[in-house]
Amino acid sequence: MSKRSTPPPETPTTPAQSDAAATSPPGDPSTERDDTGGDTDDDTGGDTDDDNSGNGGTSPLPVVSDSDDDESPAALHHRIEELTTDIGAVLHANTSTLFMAHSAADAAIRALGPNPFTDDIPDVEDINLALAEPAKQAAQAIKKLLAIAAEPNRPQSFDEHTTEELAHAADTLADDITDIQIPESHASTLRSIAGRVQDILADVPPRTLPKSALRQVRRSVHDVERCTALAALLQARAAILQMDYTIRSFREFVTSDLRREEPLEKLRIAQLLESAHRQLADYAQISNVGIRRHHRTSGVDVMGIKRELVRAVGNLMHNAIKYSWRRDKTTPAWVDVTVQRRGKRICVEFENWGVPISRQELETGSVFELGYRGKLSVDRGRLGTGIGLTDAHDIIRRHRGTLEIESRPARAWGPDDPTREEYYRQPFLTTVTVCLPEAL
Amino acid sequence: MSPVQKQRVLWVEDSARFDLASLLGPIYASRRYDLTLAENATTAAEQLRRRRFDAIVVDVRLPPGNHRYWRDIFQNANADRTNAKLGLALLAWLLGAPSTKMAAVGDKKHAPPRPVVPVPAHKIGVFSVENHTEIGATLAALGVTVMHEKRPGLPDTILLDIVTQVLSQTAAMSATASPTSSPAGPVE
Repeated sequence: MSKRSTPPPETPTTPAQSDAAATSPPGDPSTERDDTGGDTDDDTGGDTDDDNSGNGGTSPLPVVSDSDDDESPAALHHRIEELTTDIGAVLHANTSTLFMAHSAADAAIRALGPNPFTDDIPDVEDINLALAEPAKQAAQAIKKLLAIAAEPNRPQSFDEHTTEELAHAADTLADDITDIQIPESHASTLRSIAGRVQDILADVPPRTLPKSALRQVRRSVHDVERCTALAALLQARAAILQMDYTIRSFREFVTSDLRREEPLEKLRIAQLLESAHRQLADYAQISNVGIRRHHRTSGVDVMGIKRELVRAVGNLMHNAIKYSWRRDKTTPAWVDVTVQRRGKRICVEFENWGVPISRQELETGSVFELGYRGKLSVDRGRLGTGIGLTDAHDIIRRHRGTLEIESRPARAWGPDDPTREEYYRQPFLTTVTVCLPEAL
Repeated sequence: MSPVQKQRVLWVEDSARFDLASLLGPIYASRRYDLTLAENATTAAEQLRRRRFDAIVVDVRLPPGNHRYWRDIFQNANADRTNAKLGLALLAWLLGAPSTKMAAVGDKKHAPPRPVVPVPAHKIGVFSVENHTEIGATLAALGVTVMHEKRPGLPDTILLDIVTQVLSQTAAMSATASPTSSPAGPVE
């Protein structure tokens, strides 16, 4: 079993007090730059000036002079603040764009008619299954059309090259698709073929072929296009939701130092989890992952800043959803969230079954580094920035808490040699445990 | 065109099965290419050593895979690992170029063997999120001239377009070069 934990700081801090440490991983030498701000190299100043010259953000440009004061901690702090505001504004605009894209995807999915997919995020197997019948129908319709076109005494509809192209299209639609080695490309290959067939039909000289035969081909290839477009839209919609949370959370992270100091307050753990769950409800639903909450103790409180703690548990819940695999074809995946008391501390465990975290990443602590994405985390196209866990870790530490991660093979009979490649291909049970001092 | 005459294309891209899967459709639908996919630097280097390709399209941000050489370059990027630009390191290795800030060369004693038959830069295209300002000078130093930036709004034929561009460039080079150049195929 791999495990990683970090001790809490000796004294509690608020975001404003922790200053640069709030955005840097523990031990990061960059957090010590305030002391050496006057010695900041020329590159930093030059780059910042260049950035400002191209600034399209919403805040005024900082005043830049040629004096040495440019490199003073105060000037650098001012620049960082301006840049942070701009980044926050850009991320805010991105959230609006994602909202628009999601609405458009929803509308298009509805307009495309009957949805053959049972899952909100169809996988390759689902897509191939749904496409099998429309592709077969299209192949038959094309073959029939070619047979009609080849009848003696019929005016020429297609030249030799086009006839060959249509015959190849029919073959691929019928069964050749399985010869293509990258299964994820099957849908887009069929869509390209269907599009090409539509283009060919648009150029058929009038009165050379029966309208009914042409209509049948058009309808059947349109159904292939429709199914592939639906699959692409469903996948895109899921990606939008996933990125939406990531961007919102990142915006909170980036701009947290700009907000005025927020007071510590007594917060009920159940309400923090409920708030985070609510923010992630759409994403969990579309990912077909259930959140199962277990309260082994009730009515427990912690002291903290609500906005920050909701973000921290939200990030951990988001990761647990994102990295879950379905255990079998019939049962949706789920995440177990368990609250329990351990001495004077309240602990919340987020447990998911799916993507492993390697032993090396846990032992070296690299999973906590800002911008680091787990080596195994990009399977199945998962998006991410490598910020969520770092941010959660920093927040929990500032609240005098601890964050521990364990990741171990989920099955007792799976490969047990971590040096073998197949070891990390099996499902892992990953548990992230956050413990905070109980507020009495 | 019969299958044996298909031109061999290597696409080095870690998102090919996911975000960019739609770009494969036009390649397969054209029936003109035998496409090999490499999803990390280790696999790409192995494929390049084993087979000859008519066109190679490389992403810039790549995961290292298992080979120590690529892992070392990746690890040495420290906190900037997402910026490790292993695709440029792969090109530097492939073309035998000296190490630069952008295209790092790892410890030579751990370097995987390079292809027996040198791969010319004109067979290579780059398709990445980096724009010309960021990597144009590095690519120019490597002799790579075909480069397209990944951004929304590109047609789903963009990969096919890049491959076509690389092959046209190769054809133009071949017309002026020695007629003894080797055709693509397995090295062994």
